[in-house]
Amino acid sequence: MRSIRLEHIKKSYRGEVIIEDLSLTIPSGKFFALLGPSGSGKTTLLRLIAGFETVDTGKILLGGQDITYTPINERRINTVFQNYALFPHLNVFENVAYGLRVKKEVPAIIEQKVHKILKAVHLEKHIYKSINQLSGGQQQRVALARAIINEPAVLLLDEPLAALDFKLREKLLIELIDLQSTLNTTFVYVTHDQFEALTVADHMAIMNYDGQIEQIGTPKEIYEFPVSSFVAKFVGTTNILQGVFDDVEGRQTLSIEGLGAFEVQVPRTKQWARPGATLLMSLRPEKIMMRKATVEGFSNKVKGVVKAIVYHGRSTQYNVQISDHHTIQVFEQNEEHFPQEVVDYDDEVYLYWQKENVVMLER
Amino acid sequence: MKKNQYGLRSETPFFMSVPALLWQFLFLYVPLISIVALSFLRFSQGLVSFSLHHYQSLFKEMYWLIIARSMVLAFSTATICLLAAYPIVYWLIFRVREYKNIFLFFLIVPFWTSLLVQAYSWFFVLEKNGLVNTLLTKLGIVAEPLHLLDTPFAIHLVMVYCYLPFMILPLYNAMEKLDLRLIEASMDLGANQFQTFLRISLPLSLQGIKTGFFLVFVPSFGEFVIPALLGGGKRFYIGSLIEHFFLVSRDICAGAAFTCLCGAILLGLMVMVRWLFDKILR
Amino acid sequence: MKQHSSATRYVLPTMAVLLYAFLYIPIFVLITFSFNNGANTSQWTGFSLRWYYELFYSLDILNALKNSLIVAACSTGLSLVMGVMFVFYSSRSILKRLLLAFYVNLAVPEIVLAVGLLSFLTFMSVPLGMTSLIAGHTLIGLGYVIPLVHSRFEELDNRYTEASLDLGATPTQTLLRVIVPLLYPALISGGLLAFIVSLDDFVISFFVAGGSTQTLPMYIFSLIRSGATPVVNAISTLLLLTSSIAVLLYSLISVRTQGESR
Repeated sequence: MRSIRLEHIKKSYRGEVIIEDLSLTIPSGKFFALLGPSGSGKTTLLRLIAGFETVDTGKILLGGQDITYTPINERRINTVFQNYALFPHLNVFENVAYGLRVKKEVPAIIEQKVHKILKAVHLEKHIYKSINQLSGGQQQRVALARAIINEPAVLLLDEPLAALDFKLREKLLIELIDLQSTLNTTFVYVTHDQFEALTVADHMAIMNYDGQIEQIGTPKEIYEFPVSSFVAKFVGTTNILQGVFDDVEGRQTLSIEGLGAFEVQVPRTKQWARPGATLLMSLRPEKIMMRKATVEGFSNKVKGVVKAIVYHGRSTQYNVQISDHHTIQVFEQNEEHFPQEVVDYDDEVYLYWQKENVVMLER
Repeated sequence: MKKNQYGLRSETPFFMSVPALLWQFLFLYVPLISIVALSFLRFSQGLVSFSLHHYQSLFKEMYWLIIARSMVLAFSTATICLLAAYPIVYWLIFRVREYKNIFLFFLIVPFWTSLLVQAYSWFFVLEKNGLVNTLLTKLGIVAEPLHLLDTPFAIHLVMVYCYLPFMILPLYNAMEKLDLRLIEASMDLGANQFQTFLRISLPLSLQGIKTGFFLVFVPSFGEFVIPALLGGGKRFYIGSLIEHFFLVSRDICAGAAFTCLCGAILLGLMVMVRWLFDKILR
Repeated sequence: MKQHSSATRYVLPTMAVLLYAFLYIPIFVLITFSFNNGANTSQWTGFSLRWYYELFYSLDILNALKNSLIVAACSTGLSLVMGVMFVFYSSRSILKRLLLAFYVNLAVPEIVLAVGLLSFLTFMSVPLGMTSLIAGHTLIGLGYVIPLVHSRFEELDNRYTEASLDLGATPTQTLLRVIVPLLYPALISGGLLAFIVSLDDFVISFFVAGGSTQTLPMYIFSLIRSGATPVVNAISTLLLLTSSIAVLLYSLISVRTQGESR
């Protein structure tokens, strides 16, 4: 009922192809995130769903109904814009009530609904204020209220938190999650910020620079099991190492020039993993343990020299050079005020990780 | 029915925008076309025929004289306006700076007054017992009051008076966009005021000069009110002649032909002037 | 910029003073003599308001004024409504390219428009009078209104239109509820401009008004031609006053909108 299906969408703008043959299903009633770098076409996709742009070819279906050529104002879809687009000449009440007023709703019901929704977004005290008296966070909530009051099947959010500072963003993200689960409306959240996407999404899709979808899945699936180095690098940080794969009697290795062979684990589904193939290995920094001393029990171990230390509060990032051509990033959580082992520049350390924590990639 | 992205059937925007377009078409483009068409028609003894008669009848010396006179008027008005306006705008933007809006406001007020009022106000200054003559005779500079009204001098003077704001506004817009820092940079590099003006300010304001020149030149070419009021009815310019054709002798086709001819000449002049400007711009 | 050569330090302000004098002396003389007691337009014989009284009791003048006001109001209203409709409904459609068609109104010399209109109307046997006046004046009004409204509309965030449609409003509802309120200043200044231009217009009126209708400028013209009394001064002074107030309003609105657009 509230699902969106895109079939073979193509969209060009001024001769340049932005989206080519894109198909996607956004499940009903879930919080869906569309993640991608600037220029990936994610905003264009959103605009196509909203109706601000028309597809060159392809179909858009809402709950099974073809809305490809339905005009904007007839789609049961509402949008929260990046810069809110609140009507400057109307106050908060009138902005929120707009959708109901144009449908000629009864004033008593409008009054009731507006109050209810403003309470839900914690803005009851600001009902009759003019827009420019509000802070960024408050304006964003008005934009949200204005959209939700129409009880759309789908709510589109175009980087709604981009203009807000970090703390406010965190708070509002949680509020959005609560709101979505209460309303059960399908939320489609577009952003280039992977932190936001990972936080809010039940499901997400990642778009690359060519306007194609790289991967669809839950945040955990995407983070832990990326299908390409693009996804691995875009979502979170990772170390990518290239080498030659080999499989000898069940023992799988990746031989990297200048470093030797590392033990890896590849699921049978990845059929492109054949002996002799040049493959990539994605190793997340937090999956690596760094110690000055020797430790037993790890499938992989490599020696290196600490070249950079960056303190991030919760964790510390170490750049460890393990060969002339390879430097590995390691995240160590700062669990103690006074750690037993202090690592400094130019210290010699050992890096340990398990073969199961590595993801093998074709590209 | 396929609707475009604004929820409109493809016909609707057309329908709503039509009134303005229809008006434009009906009252501007069709009349212009009809002028051209009429210039080729000849009504004689109840019969209508296509003919170049009217154009041929224009090849008389007196018409060329009138056209030349209007050309001179247009050129001189535009040039004098430019020479008068440029220093003022320069002064406003670079010397006055903060209160330039107020000074500009007072420069523009006459612009919003009716042309007639503007022209008429000069009667009091130029007539036999007017301001100028009173001053001149009282100061003993002349013995007899000068005959200033009804002269080409009066016409040119009032033309400049009325069209000055048309030159000031575009110049102002162009020079306002001039970055002061460019001038400072030029002087910092050793150029003096005059060189800076010649090499930096002038070329960058050329677009404004062009616009202003055309805004004055084009209407001046066909001006009819000012020569009518201040020319004593004896000297004819293009505007006065057009009036004569259409309202006095009621020879519409001949008038149409003359109008078209002048229009063509105007276009030619505009192309020429544009080419001249581009040449100066190098 | 502290070093001003003495040439420009004295020359420029002198030229400015001369120019302002040039601009305003005739106007002051005009206004002064509107209060002159005597009919002789060049000798001051005492202060008097008689010409203003004559003005208010002259049927011809009042009639001409009435005509001018009606034509101005109608043409302003028409050009505003048609202009806004065109700018909004043609945006984002091919018709947008036809915007250029409206720039011709101010590019072509007015006398050409005037005789064109006259010829066309005569040819179609349309009687000349208030209707033809309104037709011509609206044309000029469109030439002022459309570029002004268009540029202000372009400055407006097009997200407002999109947001309005997104929330379920039809394009017309969007125009009336969102766009027009936001374009308010441009509409007022455009309207003011069109109104004053129509009030002051002489050339088009002169040609298409026909024999029986007169606007105020036409009346002034005939008075001047036939031998003026200071009544003309009185009318002119009042016209000047009206225009000045209009410019003031226009400037104030423009300054305010400039301050608003971030």
